Amino acid sequence: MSMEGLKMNMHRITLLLAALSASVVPAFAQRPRGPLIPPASPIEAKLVIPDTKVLPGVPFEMWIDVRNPSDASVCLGLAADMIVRPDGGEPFTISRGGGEEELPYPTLLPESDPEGSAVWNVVLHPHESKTLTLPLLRDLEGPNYFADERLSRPGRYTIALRLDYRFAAYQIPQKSLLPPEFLGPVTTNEVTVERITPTGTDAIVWQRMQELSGGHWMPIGWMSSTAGQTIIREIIAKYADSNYYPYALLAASFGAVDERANNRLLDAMKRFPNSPVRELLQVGAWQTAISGKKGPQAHLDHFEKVKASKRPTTRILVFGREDLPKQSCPPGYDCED
Amino acid sequence: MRRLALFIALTAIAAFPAFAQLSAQIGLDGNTINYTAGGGSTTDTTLCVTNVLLDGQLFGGVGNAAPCTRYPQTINAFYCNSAGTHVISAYAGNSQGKRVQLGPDVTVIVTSPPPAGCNIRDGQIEFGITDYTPEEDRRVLQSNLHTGYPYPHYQALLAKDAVILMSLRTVLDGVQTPGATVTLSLIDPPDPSPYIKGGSGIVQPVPGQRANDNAGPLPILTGTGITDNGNRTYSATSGANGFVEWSLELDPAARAGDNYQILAQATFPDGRIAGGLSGAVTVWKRLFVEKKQMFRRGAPLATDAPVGLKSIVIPDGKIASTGITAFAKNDYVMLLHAPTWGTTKGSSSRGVYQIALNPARFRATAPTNGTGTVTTVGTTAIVGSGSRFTRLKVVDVLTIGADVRFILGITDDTHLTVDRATTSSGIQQAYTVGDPNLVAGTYYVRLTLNRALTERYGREPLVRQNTILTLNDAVIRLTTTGGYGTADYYDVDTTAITMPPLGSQFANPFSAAYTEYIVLPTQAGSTPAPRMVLTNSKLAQQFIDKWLYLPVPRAVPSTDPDQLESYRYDTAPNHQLLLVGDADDADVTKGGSNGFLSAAIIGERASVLNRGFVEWAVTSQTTSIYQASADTVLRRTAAHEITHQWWVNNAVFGNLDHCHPEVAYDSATPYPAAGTPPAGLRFCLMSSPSAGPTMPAPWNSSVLIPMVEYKYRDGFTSYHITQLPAGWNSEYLGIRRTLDPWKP
Repeated sequence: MSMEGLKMNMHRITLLLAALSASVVPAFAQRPRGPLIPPASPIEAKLVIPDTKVLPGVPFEMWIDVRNPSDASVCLGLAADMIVRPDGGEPFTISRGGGEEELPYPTLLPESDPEGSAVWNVVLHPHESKTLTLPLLRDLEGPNYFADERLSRPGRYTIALRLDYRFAAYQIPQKSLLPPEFLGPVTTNEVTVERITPTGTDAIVWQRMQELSGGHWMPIGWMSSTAGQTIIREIIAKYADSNYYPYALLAASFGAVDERANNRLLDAMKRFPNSPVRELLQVGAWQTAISGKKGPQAHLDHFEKVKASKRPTTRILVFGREDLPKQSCPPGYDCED
Repeated sequence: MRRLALFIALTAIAAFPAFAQLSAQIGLDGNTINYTAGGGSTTDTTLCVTNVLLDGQLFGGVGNAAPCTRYPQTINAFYCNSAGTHVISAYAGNSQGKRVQLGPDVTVIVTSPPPAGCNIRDGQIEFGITDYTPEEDRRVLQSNLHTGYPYPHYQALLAKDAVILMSLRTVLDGVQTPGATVTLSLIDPPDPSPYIKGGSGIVQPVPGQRANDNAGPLPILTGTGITDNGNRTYSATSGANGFVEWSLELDPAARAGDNYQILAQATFPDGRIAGGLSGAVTVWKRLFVEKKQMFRRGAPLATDAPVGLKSIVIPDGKIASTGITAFAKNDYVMLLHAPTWGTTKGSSSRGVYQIALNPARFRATAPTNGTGTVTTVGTTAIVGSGSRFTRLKVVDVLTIGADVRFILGITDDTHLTVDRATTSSGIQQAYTVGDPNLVAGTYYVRLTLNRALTERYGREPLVRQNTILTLNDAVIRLTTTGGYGTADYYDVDTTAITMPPLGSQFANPFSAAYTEYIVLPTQAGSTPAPRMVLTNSKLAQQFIDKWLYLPVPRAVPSTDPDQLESYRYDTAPNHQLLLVGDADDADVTKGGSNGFLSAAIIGERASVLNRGFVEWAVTSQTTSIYQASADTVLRRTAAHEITHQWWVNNAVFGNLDHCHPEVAYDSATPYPAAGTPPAGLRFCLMSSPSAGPTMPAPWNSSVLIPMVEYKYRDGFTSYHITQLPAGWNSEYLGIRRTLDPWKP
């Protein structure tokens, strides 16, 4: 959480405290930001949500394929608000980065790796395409749109993202600071996600999530709350047949590095082959493989599978930015690459 | 009480023996108390004031300008004393509130009543604690939870939490007289805080003073011969020398700032009566802070670095926010190692090396199957079959079974030596070549050192993801060859947190909330934490848990075989953590905060300052604190972030514990509209910048900046007080009303 922020864009706000404050949302926080200039950008942005049927109370991956069809360079802002239309409910916008009291903008395009600096605005050259990603972050700590419990419950949610200019210097959006290549915000297409009504053991787990969180279950940051820690332990100990099981393994990766952890991940991969997070289980299996029975060979085998992944959300987590050109050798360095 | 003690300021220049810092004796008249205090040598040359107290009451002192190599000496006398027992004490102090007792207390017996010229007649009550008693001596701490820190003077007589020893003497015609019947009544006097009572220069609305305004219940009085009458009053009979003593015991629900006085009425055996009011004693909290500095330049290790290896691998990237941002040949570096997760805290070990060659950048590749097979016998020797070891390099990594080993020597195609013995024996085993800790396709930098490592450094083994380096051992760059100095690490002025100089309790936010902060000295043998870019996440708190001394690992009971998240780190009650860090983004120009509250692990909390970011921000016209003093901003930010640990605003304002729209209680103007800040404006220390007004940047009037942030440069640290429908609201009151002890 950024308590003393100077800028609007990089505030790191704890999920715990966001949850604590969820019940008291003053008028000046979480306000959607109006565009400074009308949308006139030619950039096309296609939102992809690979898993459109998901359990309630879990995060899901997204990415955006952007393309500049024009013959001119155009600046695309990477400050993304999420616009949500729930079936039967009032539409709402999950606004990010508007000040030190708000959650930071999720990183859509890292400078190199997803744990490092983010690109704030990107210039797309004529006819250039890029893929922007919103992977599930380590220990299910992000993306932080899911710090909003309104995205948690069973039901259908039609989602779009609006990409606007991300100001580097001031909290206050100002026209005079916009580069000429910026032609306005870009809104993606809408994608509808169904949070299924769970049954069987899944229903029991979802019920427990509700009980433990007082009806305010947040899909991410499970380890940041007593409720989350409790549900992880209960799922692993009592509800291992639940489709929440893979999520529990991912939410508590710290310390789970030995052969037993590897076995669990392998077991989960077998039992939940269609889980939306199956590729992340695969990544975990690779990361813990050396501790497993098959040691280095399993490590190689898992890596080959990870390497074959087509999901940009998986690839960005494991390999970082793969589209970057080779870096020049810094002065005073010897470069082997 | 009506004590007429006079003293003559007779300051002697002559040196005074160190073994007699305080002496006192009765004069020839049997009533005057002559004393000599101070004069001894001191190594702390700031202790330039000598104060002398009679029966705990400060009657004056003598001071010199700093620096002083000797405590100022004073030779004075007290006149018009009651006949009986008196205690003289002395201490040396400085403007920062430090006090050193000068010699042991001296007890004297005045044998003659005060002479007629003193005009002391009839009955009197002499309290041990009066309004002349130094305020800091008559505090009663709810708890004092760190060894080595004495209680305030009167509480130290019992040395117990939440109890203070009080006394009085019944005096008749100038003679301490036993046998008086004494009634003690508990009084709740008005709160003297300026944010309550207002006062000169305070124009913001304040509640106003009133009696019986304590937030907690009244204490009880106990002691030998003290009888509880049940109606806030107690009875006793004065003993020898008219002495009555009792303990004032706080209720567990007492709140900081609650204050009490004792109204006493004495009836002497001859029927004469006397009355008096004690000085107020006030409830205080005492908090302890571990402050940890962070090295300015450095990087985490990307992989393990075993004993015998002459190189280390770090991620390719900036090693500092500003200035020199890369390692170079001939740099002196220090490797830092902290205990691995969950193990007992101790001194972090370290080693100084020099970079012998140009840093070498390389791009990691995934491990590949090794040629042939290997045989291991549980030693460091590896024997190959069909292998081509001469195509490998020292520093390459082999993985054989679950063993990951670094090659330290290659003899020929079939014989090599690794850094550690293998864990098992086996023949014709497959193996891979390549470091599994490195991310394929990612750039790294190898630093070749001037000598082989004498200690193992490496990754935090409990972290699964090889992209996460935060908890690894680290290397830092030194500015000199002989170890590290103040230029090598970030630090912060904590004087806005700790006690202000004597007499200005309300100058600082926590002391104004009757909460005493003590910054603990650096743990012996420890170093600053390694340079790391931290954001508010579990990793930041885990980094703090690992490198700060106070958090203690606790195994979490679990039936789970993996012991998921198997350790928590506990910081003792009334202890808080403060890390003076660098920035929250590897690219400082994208930094987002001057500091943040780390709270991503339930039950753990710490304040983090981003000094590297602030130092950059004050040089950049793109920020609101351009041209401000980084020291001033950070001094304020330290108080701001520590305030967040109390989390007193959120329930009222939401807004992640910031207030809006509030100015400080001592602001000369109300909350402003957008535009140029009015003169005398002081925002509340916890004001929300983003919700606040804007102003044209003075250095570029075409852009607007948040006024609240702009005003950080003033360094003001006062809180607000405001009347809301639920009552008066203030961080002062919130902190005061938080039950002791504080816990994260």
